[in-house]
Amino acid sequence: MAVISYQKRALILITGAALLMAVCIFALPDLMIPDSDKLHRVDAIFHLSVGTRSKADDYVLDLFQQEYAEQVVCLSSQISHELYPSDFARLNLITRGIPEERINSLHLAIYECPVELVDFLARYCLDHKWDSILIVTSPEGNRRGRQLMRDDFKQRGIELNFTHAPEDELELRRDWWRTHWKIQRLIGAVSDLLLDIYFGDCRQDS
Amino acid sequence: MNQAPGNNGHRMKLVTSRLIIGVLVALLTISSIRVCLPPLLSVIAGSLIRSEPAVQSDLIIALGGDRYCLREKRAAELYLQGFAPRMVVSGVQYIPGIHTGDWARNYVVELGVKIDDVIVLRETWNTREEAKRLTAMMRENGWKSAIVVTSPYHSRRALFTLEKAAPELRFTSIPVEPQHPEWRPTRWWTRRNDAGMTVREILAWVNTLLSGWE
Repeated sequence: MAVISYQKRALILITGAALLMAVCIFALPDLMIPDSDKLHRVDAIFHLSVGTRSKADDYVLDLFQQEYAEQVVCLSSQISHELYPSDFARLNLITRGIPEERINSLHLAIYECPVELVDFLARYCLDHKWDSILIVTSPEGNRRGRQLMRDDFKQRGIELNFTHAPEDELELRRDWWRTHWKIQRLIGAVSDLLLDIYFGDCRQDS
Repeated sequence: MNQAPGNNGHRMKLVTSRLIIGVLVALLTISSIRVCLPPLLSVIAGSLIRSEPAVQSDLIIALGGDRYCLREKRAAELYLQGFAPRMVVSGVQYIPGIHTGDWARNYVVELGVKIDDVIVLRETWNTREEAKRLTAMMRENGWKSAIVVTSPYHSRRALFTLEKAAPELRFTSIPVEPQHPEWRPTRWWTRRNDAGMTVREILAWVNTLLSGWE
């Protein structure tokens, strides 16, 4: 049997690693954007995809009009001094036909640890006696949302389903490797996912 | 073939001494990493910061993208101390009807900056775009110098980008103080937000140096 020299082995290993990395990079959208869950009637829709370049308002309106839920909650943290985009998403959805009493805007703190956010949202659901929620995320936030929230909510007796606007997914996938904001969002999603794993228990040295 | 007992003893000694050396080298490497890595990582994060003494300038700009608005607050303080006669805030159309730049302007006006002295720089989606728009505005108006206020981790890259966009203009970096909860460079790898911020900034540096996505 021919013996492969150390140099050749190293070369094969490096080439393999580089190829694997390239495949992972080009598979980023497929890795980060899972299929939406099967839709069915729930107690409330949580609209977490408020923001730039998102058509999720249209999607949430569509879900509401198809009677998937009786309540809608728009959620966001501040993006500037006391500026909460969820307030504006709520107003937009009211002007487009959702009755005022059926839609809320929920201001989120800027949490250092996502576990705190999950706990806050679960308590909010329990306070409202909701046991099934449809969460509308950004396409790249869908996988992270599932990983972060589903088990915790399940333990508290709340069923979570995740979905994202199909138009947002189409837009994110279109020429993503050539567009700064798309790359930025995908890499951001990967890094958030890794940070959630590494800092899972939210340990913090001061 | 049988070897002489003397040879065996010599080989044993050689193997033992190599083993001891190997263990010592491994221990030395591990302890060096344990001792040197933390300060090295802190130095890497610290090197993202560029901070200079304040000088009289034509304008103060608070770069966009800070949801805590610490940049705007620091820029307003410098304006109120008289370091420049005008202030620029920056932002993007976040959703129809909502421009973060307008919000930043309202905030600095609340802090005491005269509304007529505030200029809003629009559609600044990233640092390079912001640099292009700011330097174009400075050239148009004949302004030669600016104090740049941004987050500490972003300050060196922001200045690098601005100076590259307009080498003839003078920029002074006065970043926000590193602070909780935004970002701190010391032992950043032990805190979730700081770790994320530092790694993303390093990736952004790589992108900037390679003149990559814009």
